[in-house]
Amino acid sequence: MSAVLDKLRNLFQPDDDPPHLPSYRPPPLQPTAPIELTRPSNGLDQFFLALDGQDRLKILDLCGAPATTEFLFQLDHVPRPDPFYRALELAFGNGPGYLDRQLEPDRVEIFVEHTLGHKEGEFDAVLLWDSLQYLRPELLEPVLEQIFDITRPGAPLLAVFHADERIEEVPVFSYHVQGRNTLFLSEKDRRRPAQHFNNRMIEKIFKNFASTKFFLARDHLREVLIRR
Amino acid sequence: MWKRRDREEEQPARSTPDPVKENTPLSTTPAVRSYEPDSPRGVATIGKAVYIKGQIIAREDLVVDGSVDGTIEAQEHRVTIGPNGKVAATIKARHIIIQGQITGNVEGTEKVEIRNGAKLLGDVKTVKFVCEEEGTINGSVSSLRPESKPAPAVEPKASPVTPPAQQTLTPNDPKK
Repeated sequence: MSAVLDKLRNLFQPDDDPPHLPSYRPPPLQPTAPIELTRPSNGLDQFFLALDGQDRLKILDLCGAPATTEFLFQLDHVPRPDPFYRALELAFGNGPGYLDRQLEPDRVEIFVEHTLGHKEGEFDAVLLWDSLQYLRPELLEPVLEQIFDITRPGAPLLAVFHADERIEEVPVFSYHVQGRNTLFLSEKDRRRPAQHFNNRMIEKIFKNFASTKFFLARDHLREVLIRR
Repeated sequence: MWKRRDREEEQPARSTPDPVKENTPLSTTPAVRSYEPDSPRGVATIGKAVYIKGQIIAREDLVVDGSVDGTIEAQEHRVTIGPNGKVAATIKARHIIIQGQITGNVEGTEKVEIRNGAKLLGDVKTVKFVCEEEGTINGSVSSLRPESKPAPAVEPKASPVTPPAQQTLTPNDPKK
């Protein structure tokens, strides 16, 4: 009987070991919240400066954010939102293999023909945003040739490139123009860029255009104003 | 029509059970009430189970929640393409609200609104344009306002007090 009581007592005795602390468990990895920020944009300011004194300009917007369309419309221009990013997804997918599929000539041809199949010299200005950095050279070259053809000589183009060369994936932003020099950026997705664009490479890809002007922004974005 | 339907419903169940059918109403009248027409006149409605091919000329506000292939004209009225609406047509109206899908050009003499979830493949001409964040447009958006005349060769004399005629900019004007 006493042996049984000892066993029961032992069951309720504290251990000699220090109290067992719950092991540290790191919090589950949460996907980082999508970036949303409003920031000034010198490139955009220069873009609108190039349009000053003119109205009814036909402006191709490859992002096509509704806010931008409304803003350009209020300036008495003729915005032409283009679902470029959506078309890119449809043609090449948005998974990790999207860059490999850009090596297929048939896909490239169909994409360029259907996405940018506008009339020659139709546009007075183009908002390219960060679309070009998701294109491999095999796709980038025909896309830029097409953009060259559909814009009139002297037309300003605004492009954005991520300046951080170490980053593996860059946020795909939706660019909402809120003022002549104010942009609201909302992250839609993250993607591996096709290549890293430094100033020299950017000058090279726009070699057929008249000029390029660079603006380095605070948030690792390099804005480029190009003249056709 | 309704009596006939009632009679059909009263018939005894068949020996072999029918597959479960979605009961699609011929008219979407209850849903139409949510559109809240601003005019005291009625609203003509094309329900979501209706397909029309041809020209529609409306003398009252019109809600299209079905399919239309052709043209829609409601020059002095409002046309609403409901969430179920699929329209392959050019539309001319005073005020156009798009919640569904349109393939065709749209001309609103007063206002064009593209609501969340709407898809427009075509050009817009209007005086006032509003597009919600989840609305999609693939086409140009141009003003219906008359073309600005070229500047006269001789500039008007500038008053010493007031500047030459310029557009007044409000604080919220994006031109500023």
